[in-house]
Amino acid sequence: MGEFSPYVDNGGTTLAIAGPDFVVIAGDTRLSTGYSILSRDVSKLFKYSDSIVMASSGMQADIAELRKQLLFTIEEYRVDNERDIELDAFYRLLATVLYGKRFFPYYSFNILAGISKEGKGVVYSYDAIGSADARTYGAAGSGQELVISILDAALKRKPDPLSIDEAIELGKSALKQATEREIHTGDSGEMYIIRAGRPAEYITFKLRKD
Amino acid sequence: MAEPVKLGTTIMSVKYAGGVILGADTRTSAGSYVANRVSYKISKLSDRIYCCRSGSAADTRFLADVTKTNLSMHSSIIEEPPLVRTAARLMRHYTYAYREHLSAGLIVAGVDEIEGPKVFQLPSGGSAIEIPVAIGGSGSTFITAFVDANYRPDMNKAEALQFVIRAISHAMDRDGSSGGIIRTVVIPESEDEEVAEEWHKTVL
Repeated sequence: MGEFSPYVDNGGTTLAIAGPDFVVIAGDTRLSTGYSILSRDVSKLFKYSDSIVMASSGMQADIAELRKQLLFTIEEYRVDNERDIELDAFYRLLATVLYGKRFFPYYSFNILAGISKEGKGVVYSYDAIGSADARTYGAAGSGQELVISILDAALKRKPDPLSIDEAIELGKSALKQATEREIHTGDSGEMYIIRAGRPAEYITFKLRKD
Repeated sequence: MAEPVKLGTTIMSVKYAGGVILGADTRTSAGSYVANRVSYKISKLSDRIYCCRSGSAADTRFLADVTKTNLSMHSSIIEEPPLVRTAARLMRHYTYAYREHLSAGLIVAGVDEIEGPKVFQLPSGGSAIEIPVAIGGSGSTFITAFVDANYRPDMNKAEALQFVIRAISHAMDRDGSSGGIIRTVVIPESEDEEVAEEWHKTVL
């Protein structure tokens, strides 16, 4: 008789790449358990504002609950402070909410992307209990190892800063490669392109369905 | 199931004739995946007191944060810069109280006006001991003999820095959970000298 586990891994891959004044964040849309696909159209990305998007992979139930908690808290913030929450405060909020369940964690591997106060693109990669680092790129989910190697190679010691089109192409291409070699990633991809002072752009692209 | 992020790590701190030096590798692992190749395992607790973190990344982050806050409040109340001993004591309060639940091995080191340069080791059980040279993390087991054989209490800053870099290089060479580059923080006793945060390539 198997022991009951409260956790399930719904698969999928997410990534984010930051540039000098932009950041792109992407994920696939496949929801699976074990070897079955539950849905080809579930989003892993959540836009909190025009300058903050969070990508989450792991267990969809915990992710849904986490999003609800965060939405509620940033609404409170908006009422108390009479303005929208900024990236550095949201970064800290997410870390605190996750660590709050240190002994029964949200099975959620998050990447936070946005524009900092100085106008630069930033990516924060979290573990399940809220430890996070600011970086220029990150990947999470079942295809994490595959994607991160592609990003490492493409972004290592680039002499010129990355252009936004290069970042978009790289993000799409990395997800496509993960789809080829990893069974839980595929169906379709989505991406938010965040730039300072404008609404976040949203695009979708096809991925293999097999 | 994915693992929580651990600071696999080699951390160390030495007291030299004129201050303390803290050193750490930069590898953060989640199981066998390297989550971060260039992480910061040395955190500032106050102007002249820093700590090295090993164990769970999230646990030690919060321990360092909470200690930094408490230390700052204490320092405001006493209207003096805090003692290294106080920082170690404040941190130890939490590592002892929650020792069943946390995974954290820390080293607290710095200088203060009353006791001078000090290094405190806070292992995972929740104790705190004051020693001249402290090593911690999974990589430390590979360099216990090296450190015992090569440490001298009368080293100057340059010698002590080389000692730290060599020791951590050796640990990184043998420990799968340690790697990346070597970060060091030099905290001189003299008020006229600044605290220096640098990074170095491994010497091996």
